[in-house]
Amino acid sequence: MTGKIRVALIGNPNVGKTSIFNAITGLRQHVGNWPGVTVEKKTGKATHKGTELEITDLPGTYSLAAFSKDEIIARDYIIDESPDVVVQVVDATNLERNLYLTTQLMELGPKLVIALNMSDVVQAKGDKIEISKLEDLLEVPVIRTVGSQGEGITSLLEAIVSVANKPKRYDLELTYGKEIEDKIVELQKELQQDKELVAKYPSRWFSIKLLEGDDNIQEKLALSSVADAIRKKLETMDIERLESQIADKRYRNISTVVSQVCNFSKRKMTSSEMIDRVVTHKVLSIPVFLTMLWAAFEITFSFATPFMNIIDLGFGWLAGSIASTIAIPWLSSLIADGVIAGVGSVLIFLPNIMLLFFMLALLEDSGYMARAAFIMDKPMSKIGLHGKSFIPMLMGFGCNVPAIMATRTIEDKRDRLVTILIAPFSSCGARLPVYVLLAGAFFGKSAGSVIFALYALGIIVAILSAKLLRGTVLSGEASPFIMELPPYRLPTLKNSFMQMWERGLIYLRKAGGIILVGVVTVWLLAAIPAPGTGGTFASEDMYGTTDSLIGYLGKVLDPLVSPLGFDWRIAVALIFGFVAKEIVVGSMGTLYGAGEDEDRLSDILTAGAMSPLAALGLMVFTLLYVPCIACVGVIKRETGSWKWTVFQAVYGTGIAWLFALIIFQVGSRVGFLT
Amino acid sequence: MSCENNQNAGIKIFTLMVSLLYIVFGAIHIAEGIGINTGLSAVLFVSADILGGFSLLVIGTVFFYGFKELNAGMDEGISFVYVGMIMSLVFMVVYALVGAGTLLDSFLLPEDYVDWHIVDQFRPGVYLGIPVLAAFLAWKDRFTAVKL
Repeated sequence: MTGKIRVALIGNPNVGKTSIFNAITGLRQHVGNWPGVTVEKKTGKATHKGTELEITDLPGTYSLAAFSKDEIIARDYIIDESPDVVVQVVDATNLERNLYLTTQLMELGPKLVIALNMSDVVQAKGDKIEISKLEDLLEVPVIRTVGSQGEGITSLLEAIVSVANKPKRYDLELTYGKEIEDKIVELQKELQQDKELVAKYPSRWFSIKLLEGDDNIQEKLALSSVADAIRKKLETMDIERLESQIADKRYRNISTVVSQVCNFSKRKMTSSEMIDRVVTHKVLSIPVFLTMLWAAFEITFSFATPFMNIIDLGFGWLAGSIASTIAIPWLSSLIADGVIAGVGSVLIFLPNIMLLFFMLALLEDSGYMARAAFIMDKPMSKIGLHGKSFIPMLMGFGCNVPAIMATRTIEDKRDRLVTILIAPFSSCGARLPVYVLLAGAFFGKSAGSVIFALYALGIIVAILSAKLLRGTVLSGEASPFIMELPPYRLPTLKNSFMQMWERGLIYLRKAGGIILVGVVTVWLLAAIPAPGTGGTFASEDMYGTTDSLIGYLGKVLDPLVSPLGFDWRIAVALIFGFVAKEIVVGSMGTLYGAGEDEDRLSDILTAGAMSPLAALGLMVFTLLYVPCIACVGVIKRETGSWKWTVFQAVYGTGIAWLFALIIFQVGSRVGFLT
Repeated sequence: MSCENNQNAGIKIFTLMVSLLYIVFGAIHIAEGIGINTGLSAVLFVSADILGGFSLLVIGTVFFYGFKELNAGMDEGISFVYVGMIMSLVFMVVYALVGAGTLLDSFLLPEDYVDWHIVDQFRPGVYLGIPVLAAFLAWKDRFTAVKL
């Protein structure tokens, strides 16, 4: 074969496909130790001994019976794009279950190579897999790999190139017994009449999928000229029974293979099993989860303080130096009060953001995230969702955009929609600056605990909202929870730092892009006199007051926020927070005349500009109100509906307003925090 | 065999002791946090910290479950000891990092740290972790040999 070889990486969730993808391509796609990290296909390039390869990493799938959106993406790619070679990444520690997908790939017939990944774990357990025997039985090249360490990648590339150059596709067939085989032949005969269909799909595979009652295949059949004839035949068959017989037959074949190639050592409890006995314990699981989460927040808040102060001192010096060197007052104000103060007030929180992402990366890589979903399954089931919906909520602590995309792993459409609608209540990293500023200013040593409570509140509101939605507009049967718990792994510092750096870089880019534009806009609106006031552009006595354009706008919004204990400046800052939540603090700095100096802003706020109750209300409002514009865009894309997008924005803002109102009004009356 | 029995007895006694220590110190943290003056905060560096206290209580409870199972002859009880130790060490690192951060901040802004002393950072989460670390290193092979 000459020219480029197109390779698809397929496999069960969390078997290390992305690690292998990264090892082959040299790219740095996000790798996580829990199922569902890859929800979209990703493509990279590599060259092996002069042969160019285009590698596509597909979302994880347990079988080719596509149930969820990510599984359909994987299956359709194999069928529609017809890659030259399909590499199935197999978890060597769970051979039996992984080979189920292999049997289906064998039926589909692409040129196949198996990467027997995580082979080091098998070895560490004292187990042995006879690779050459497995190759003989499956008639497929099987390569031992350890994706996380790049082991076996050269051999894998050799096998890919070798298989691609072979003329024949895979043709080993599993047999299902006379009854099913007769039915397969019967359906195949009908299908052969539609030449276009059989040119695209192997007729035997298509027939088996029909006998398995595959909805997606039924949809593909609907366009065929033989659809009616096939449907009539299927109506006479007991599809449910045939489906279970086919699965049973596949597992029997797999058991035969596994028994011949695997040598298991005397059974010992692994470290993963020992940890799981405790972290999934019926009494201890949730307290342990809360404890680990609190440790992550304690680091995020307390350890970051000196690094924040270093940035603060640096920006303070820069603003002072520039202000004293530029003679034109408005230009000096624009650069010092607008650009430096605005961007500085966002960058000061970079240490918190980086540490938060680092802690999330550690939790993800260790395998604990999947346990968190598992232990939350019971409380989640009470609201009509399952534990899988909890993963996007946890991911939302980093950023809501990938969290919403992660809902693609949820099979049930209603479950997925509810999860999308509640995911923005998970407090993302961009909201952290508001909490750090206000909790630090008003709650002193308890700031870490207050921030932790806000994150917990986000989850509680999400759960209650799901309950409300499940009981009303999105009612229906709860789907069962099936999720594999990956083995625990010691997180590598390299991977965690890489994730922290990449996500931190997004924050930095935002600071230099949309946030810079936002803060300059705020400065302009604060520097332009309001109509009829007769002030001078950027004059000190008018800047950021009610005589400025921003003050004029703020006064219009004032009646909406005054019952919450906020003044017009907060209303303006929250409006700009819709562009990016990071702008809220920057806008407050500008509007309260503190510039980038967080300490000065804290002093102004605590000196009477805001009460502790209003500060608490503002943190809660920031947590719950409409997410940023990027997040709203993803909600629209993933739900495909403006109705649900607008619903989320209005519902979130309504809840936020109500909570802030209750905190301020009830708190004031009972004398709480006054 | 006798050596293994002695080791098991040692693990059991150690587990009970650290369990009680974590529970007691966790309770003191919480008591101080809700405004009860135990008189121990200056001596044992136990600050007013409800959530920190809750975390120590959880670690102590995990150890206690381990003691209960080991005492009942259940070898799998070692799982709780293993996880209790991991949690203790995680918290030791967390508090040590927080202490290091505060120390660095005291150099940057000395005026904010007039009444502060580095010893204040030597909290129970740190010093209780030291014997746990020693025990973890001594018994690390014990955590991989449990037969089901």
